[in-house]
Amino acid sequence: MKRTKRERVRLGVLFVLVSCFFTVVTLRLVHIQIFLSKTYSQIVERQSSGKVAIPAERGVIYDRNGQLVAKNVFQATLYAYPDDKKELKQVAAYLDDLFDLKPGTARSRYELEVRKFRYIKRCLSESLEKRVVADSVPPGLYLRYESQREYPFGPVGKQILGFTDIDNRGQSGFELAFDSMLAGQQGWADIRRDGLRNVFRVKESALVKPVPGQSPVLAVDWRLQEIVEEELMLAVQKYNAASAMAVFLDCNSGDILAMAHYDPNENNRDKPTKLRAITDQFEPGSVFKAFTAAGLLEGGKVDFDDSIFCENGQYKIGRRTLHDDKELGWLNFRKIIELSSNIGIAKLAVAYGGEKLFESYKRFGIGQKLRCGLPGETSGQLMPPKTFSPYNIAALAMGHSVAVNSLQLAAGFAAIANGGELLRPKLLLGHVDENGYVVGRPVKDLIGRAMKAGSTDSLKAFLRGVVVDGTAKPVNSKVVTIAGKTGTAEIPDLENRRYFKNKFIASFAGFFPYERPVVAGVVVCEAPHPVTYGGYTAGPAFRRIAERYTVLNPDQFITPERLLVENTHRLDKTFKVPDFIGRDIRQVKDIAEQKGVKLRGTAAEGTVVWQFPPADRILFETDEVLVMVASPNKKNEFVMADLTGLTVRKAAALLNYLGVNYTIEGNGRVVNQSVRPGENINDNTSCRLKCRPC
Amino acid sequence: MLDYRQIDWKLIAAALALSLIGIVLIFSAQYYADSDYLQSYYLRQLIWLFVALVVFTAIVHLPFRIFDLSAYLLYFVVLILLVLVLVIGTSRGGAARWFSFGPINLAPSDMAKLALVLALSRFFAYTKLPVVSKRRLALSGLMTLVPVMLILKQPDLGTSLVFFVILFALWFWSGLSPWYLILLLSPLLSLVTASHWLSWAIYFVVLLSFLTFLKPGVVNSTVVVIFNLAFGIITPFIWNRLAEYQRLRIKTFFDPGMDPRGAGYQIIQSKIAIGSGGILGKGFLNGSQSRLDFLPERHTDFIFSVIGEEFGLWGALVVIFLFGFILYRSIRIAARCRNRFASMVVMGAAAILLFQFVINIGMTLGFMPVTGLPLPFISYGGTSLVLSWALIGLIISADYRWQEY
Repeated sequence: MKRTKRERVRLGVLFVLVSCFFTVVTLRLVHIQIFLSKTYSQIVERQSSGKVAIPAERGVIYDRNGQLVAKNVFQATLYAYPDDKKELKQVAAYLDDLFDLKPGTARSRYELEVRKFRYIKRCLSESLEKRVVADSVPPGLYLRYESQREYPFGPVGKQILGFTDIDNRGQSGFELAFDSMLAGQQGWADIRRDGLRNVFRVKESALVKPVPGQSPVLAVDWRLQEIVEEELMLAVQKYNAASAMAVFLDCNSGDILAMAHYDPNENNRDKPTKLRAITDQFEPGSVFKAFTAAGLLEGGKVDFDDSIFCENGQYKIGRRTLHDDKELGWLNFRKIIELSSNIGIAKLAVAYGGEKLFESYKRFGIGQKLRCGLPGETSGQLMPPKTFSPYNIAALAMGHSVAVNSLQLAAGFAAIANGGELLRPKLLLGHVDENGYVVGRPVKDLIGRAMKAGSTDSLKAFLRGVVVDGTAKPVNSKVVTIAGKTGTAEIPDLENRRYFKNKFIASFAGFFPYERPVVAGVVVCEAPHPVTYGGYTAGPAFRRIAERYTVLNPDQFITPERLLVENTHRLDKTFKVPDFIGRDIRQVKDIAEQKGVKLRGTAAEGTVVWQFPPADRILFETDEVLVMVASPNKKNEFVMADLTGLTVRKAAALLNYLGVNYTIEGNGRVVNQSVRPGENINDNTSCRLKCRPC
Repeated sequence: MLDYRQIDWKLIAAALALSLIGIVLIFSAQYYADSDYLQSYYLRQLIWLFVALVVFTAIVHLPFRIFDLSAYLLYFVVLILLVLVLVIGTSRGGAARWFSFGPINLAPSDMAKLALVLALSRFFAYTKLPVVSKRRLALSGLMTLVPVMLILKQPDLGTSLVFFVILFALWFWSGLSPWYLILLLSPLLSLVTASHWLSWAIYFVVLLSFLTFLKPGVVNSTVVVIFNLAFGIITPFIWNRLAEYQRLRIKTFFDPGMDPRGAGYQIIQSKIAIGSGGILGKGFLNGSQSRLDFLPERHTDFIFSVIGEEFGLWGALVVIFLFGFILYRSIRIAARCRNRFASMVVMGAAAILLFQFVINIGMTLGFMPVTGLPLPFISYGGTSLVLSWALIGLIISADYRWQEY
């Protein structure tokens, strides 16, 4: 064929142009599909997969008797995440209505925005929750269940336990100090999302199950705690005290049985931030004489029969004058303690020597932190004076120029009671293992010996004498034999750098029963009036606590060995939480019914993506298990779904996508499947479908 | 009866292959769709293919002369339809309008493409006006502008561009020198380069030297320069007067990456889909991107992404090869046709197919703006498929009768 030159040029241009187009397209294709393929594959992975945090259950807290003192409850949280303007409008209108707001205010109040997460209300009240569940909430507004702490005993023991914030993190007390133990480890679920952000598949293999927090068993006896708190309140009211505090220890193991304070002016009783029994330090006064006496006895220099002249209540020592409350004459050692003679103990102490006394106080843990494990514990103050002048020695012996906290006093008296061992006050007995057994080592934590074994008997007898014949006669009880020492110390007036003449720290520290001591403790009243003596204020409170506790434990009450030595103590009426994650909600409901588990779910159909508490937890019969269900979607199973009734096409599509090999018999709709619904699917699963035309 | 041995079966086979690939891809794209209606798209496309083949057969059997004679008539009928569709047509989401007959939608803009090819071919085939005459350019330009204006009213920018492409292709094929085509396009270049004074200055130097080299005559040169100046001066002026969102809309038209959640979303997802397909693809029905609703319009405008994802580079290259083959054959046929009208028609048809192919695939690959032009033969859509086959019918028919004058 003949073509003109122009025609040939034209064809050439056309050919070049078209080739260019094709080359560009091909090169681009090669670029994207070969060189960028990896990048884009990663993006695919990233945008279609995600992680959902599965919160770990916070450990619950038991007291020494297996009583649940802190538990978890689920509370509904309402949040908004409107997808578009239409949803936003609906959400705002609904919220106006729900909270009875002036129309149009919800939007600005909750700062609602399209595609922005906003909390509307956390910890929804039950009535509101019911209403929200009952209403068909507009899309864009959602309920979520969050675990919150609940304390079955209300304020009792709250000072020890502390509290958690809205995110369930410990903020004070035990909850803070043992937060990492309680919190556990959050788990993850790898999920798949489609372009519309529907979660549709959970890979079981990529499920990192949360590690639930440990559930500790506290040494505290909540019955005693309750008694102590009640008696402190009564004491404050009865003796017009500014406040009162108390610590009770198991003197043979160091277990903290109860610890509390009561201050009528304290206003945050729900969220206590301070446990005064371990934080507040004060000049102990005469109770301290017990430790002085212990030191003197240890030294072995005191002859019990020697009488000491107590100078009829006035004794000049150095440039200062010591006073006794009563005019006392000649007294032996025992009487000095029983009647709490300042002059008598001062003379003995000076004779014995300051340095030696100082050392014996140290052995009682004075001036050191006992490290009971709770935050804010103070060490008290025991400073060596510049010189051990007679007055300095005397002051120290009387419990002045020294500061202690209640826990130290209690621990010291426990040491006297148990034969001389200073034990670390113990808060934690152990934890409940996955089978419901209490695991813990019942060993006592010995800090050191405060006194030689055997040398405590006479001191104990003196202290018993204090109650029977001495300054603490009102403490003498018909129910239980109490031994102890009173204290009435002036409160320092820090502003004027002197002591208040009319404000006293009234205290009683002691142990019971005298013959075979089990409990040691201290009750401290701040500024009681008009009666100011420890023996007449703190003492009777101590007695009432001891009596009530004894009545509660007729068989010599506490023998902690029984609880701890062997793992025989099983919490009954419990059940083990089944593993629901990944199962179809309908199936979960069946299992729950079978096992008698109370279930609380968020949807009628779909796959459970997390449960709370997690599997294998031990729960009480009355507890319920919360399950969260992925939005119902046709493609959301990863365990075998119930295919019956589905068209062959849909069933095959599903199986195909799940990677399950399948064979189909017949046509129409599935009437039978060889892999039961709910069975896990893996790569080798193959499923036979029987179908029948409908 | 036709002598079937004389028919270019290979060309038909290529077109049929593309159509069948299209049906398979539509099946795949909507396989997991939520409704039976969406799932049955491939069946509807199959029916449309049947219709298209009937139309194709009819066109092949008709004497070519009929198109020649009825070209202007068809052109006017289409113009009337274009006006009518503005009045009684339905539209969705600001896209092209169509007539709704129950379940069947007819987009007159597709018919208009065919009509314009025929009308312009007839005009260029018989006009006595010299190639570079202003009247010839103006008349053909006017013939194109009228339907373009009507379609822009719909509004459908992508389809309007197809008409200009037809015009340029036929200008070119009717003998207008490429240099003149460039001169005609030069105001557009001004529009683009005027965004910065320096680029515009450089462009203008190039333009002026080009004019000295080409010597199109004083008047023509002046017109070109004036147009360029006008566009260049007006552009920044208008640009600055535009509201921010309008500017953004224009910018994202050229660079969809600027708006990853809006216009750019489709492009990005399309590239991700194709890229993740790699060389071998993920396999039939296994494209996760298209499966999981990440990719919008996956059975129509972005169907090429489904090929890329499920069949990988090889699948995409097969499609490209088939298109290349069709175009190669078409150009060969256009070149050997003795009948000037037939040659023009074939070239116009090839131009439509080439342009839609390049724009659509370019769009899915992220280097062309999103225009909403379907991929001929493959994208879901009845009129598009029928049009493609009608064009193939014209090409085959012209080829069969290539010796006729």
